[in-house]
Amino acid sequence: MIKVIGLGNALRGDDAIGPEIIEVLETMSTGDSLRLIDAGADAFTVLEHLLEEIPVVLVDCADMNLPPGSVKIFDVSEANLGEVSGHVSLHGFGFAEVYRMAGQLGPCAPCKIIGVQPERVAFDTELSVPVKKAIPEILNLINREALLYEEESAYH
Amino acid sequence: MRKDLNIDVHHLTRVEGHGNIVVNMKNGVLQKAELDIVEAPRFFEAMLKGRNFMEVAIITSRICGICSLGHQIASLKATEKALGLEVSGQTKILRRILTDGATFQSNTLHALFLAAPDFLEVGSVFPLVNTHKDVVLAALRLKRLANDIGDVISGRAIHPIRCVPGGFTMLPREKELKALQERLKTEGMTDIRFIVDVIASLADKIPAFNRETEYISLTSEEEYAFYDGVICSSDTGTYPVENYLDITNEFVVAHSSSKHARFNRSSYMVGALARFNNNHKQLHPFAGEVAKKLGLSAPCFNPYMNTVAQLVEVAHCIENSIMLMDRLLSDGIRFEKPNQTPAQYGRGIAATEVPRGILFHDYTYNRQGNIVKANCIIPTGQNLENIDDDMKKLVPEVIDESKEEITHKLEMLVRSYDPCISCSVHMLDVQFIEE
Repeated sequence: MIKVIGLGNALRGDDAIGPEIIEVLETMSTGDSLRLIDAGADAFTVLEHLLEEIPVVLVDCADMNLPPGSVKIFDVSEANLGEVSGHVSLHGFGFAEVYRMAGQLGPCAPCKIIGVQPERVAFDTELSVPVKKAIPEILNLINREALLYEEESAYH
Repeated sequence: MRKDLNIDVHHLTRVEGHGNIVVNMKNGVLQKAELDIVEAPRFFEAMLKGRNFMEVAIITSRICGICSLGHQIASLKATEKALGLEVSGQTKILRRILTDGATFQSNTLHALFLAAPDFLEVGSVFPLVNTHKDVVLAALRLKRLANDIGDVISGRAIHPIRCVPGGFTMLPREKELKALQERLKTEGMTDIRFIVDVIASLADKIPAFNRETEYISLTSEEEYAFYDGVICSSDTGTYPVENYLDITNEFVVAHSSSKHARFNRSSYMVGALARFNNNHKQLHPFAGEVAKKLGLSAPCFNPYMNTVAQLVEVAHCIENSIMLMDRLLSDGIRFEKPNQTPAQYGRGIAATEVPRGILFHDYTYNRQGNIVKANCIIPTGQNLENIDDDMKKLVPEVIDESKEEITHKLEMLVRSYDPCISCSVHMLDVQFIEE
């Protein structure tokens, strides 16, 4: 099993992509392979999941200087923390701080971030067309991560 | 004695959203002492225009990542009043347990992660992980427990999905509730006792500052009010929730993109300290012991003690959820279909206590069950004028301290209100014209 955490404010246009992905996955039959968590913009919810062993995939809207709707997956490690933390939007706390805090408190779960380039982040309840079109690609990436984890678990 | 002082704290840390503290004293005369709110306005109420009553609470629960449950409950209650949807006693108990969980989660996080670094004179929670790892872990366990209450009762900890107009789409199983109750009795009570012991040892770090103000909260004859009640002013008595506009009297100031509020005095306070001052006699016994241990007694006029009042409420909410779960388990959980057949259409006004204070939602529905007019008044907006008034009294009292010490006390003061600036900044009184 992997945990998929959707981050973002559902009332801020493309910032809603994280919660939106959780809602889409909730309507699909994902069995025991995924545990779904809508974290809103709550840094401490991310922290408590980083403190457990189950691998975490965070889905968040990220300004990566790419065309709107572009999707990238990042593997989080201490080495690239500075680079990836700019892509996670947590109220009042940076992702780097939360990740380091989790490390101080105990062993940290493996963590990947799926970043989605927004077209607009403004008060709106709709995603932009390019970000809507990116949903299948994001779901494929999540599915791939779940399969990879199952294969690794079976191997070990 | 110092005659001139200039303080400009740009983007105060450890609060939700963006605010600046600006103080200016010239020739011994205080010209300015205020919290500037610089966030761009939001348009929550405009987003509700034309929305059907089945969608409204889903949208409002996303107004705030921290108070999502509180906004949802206030929204559901306003919709149910407007449409004449009666809810069962079981629904009210389940909503009360959810409210207790959300309150003890938010209060714990604020007290331990945002305010405690001030008492320990460290810049943030991060150094605390090394020096007070056990406290941080206890706070995280309490947060997890509250999240699990949300998961079991409403399907999700954040942005709940089972709470709908008229009731719940799915009910918790008795086995799950019993397991949660057991964890509250063991983990929850142990962790809050430990946290209270640590905070009690820091009591001398809380500034001795007093300014009597008006305290406004819900109050109820039945209980220490969070879920429901009537409006209570410590100055003038009680009022029906429907009269909220006469109480809040919002007004615009130049230095804030959020409106301010006032009632009987130049300002009033909402939140944990206001609730404690108005309702302390209804605290459960252990919460009363916690108040005593932490040196909090009513009436308390020290706004810095709001953080202490929050911890007293953590103890109360844990005790209260255990008691409410007992009631549910002894009666047995009955299947109920949510009552979603409107008996009327019109206006509904509701109030709920959320961690930061009294929250009002006011909706008007047309005959299609869609919103034509909405207004939400958020606790932080109601506290802003009181914060300014506190600063105006505090600065002359500490004027001979170093600029760094004055700045620290001002930052602590604002943080003690646990402001959610992001939430408070929104366009109010949006008038929709029905087509």
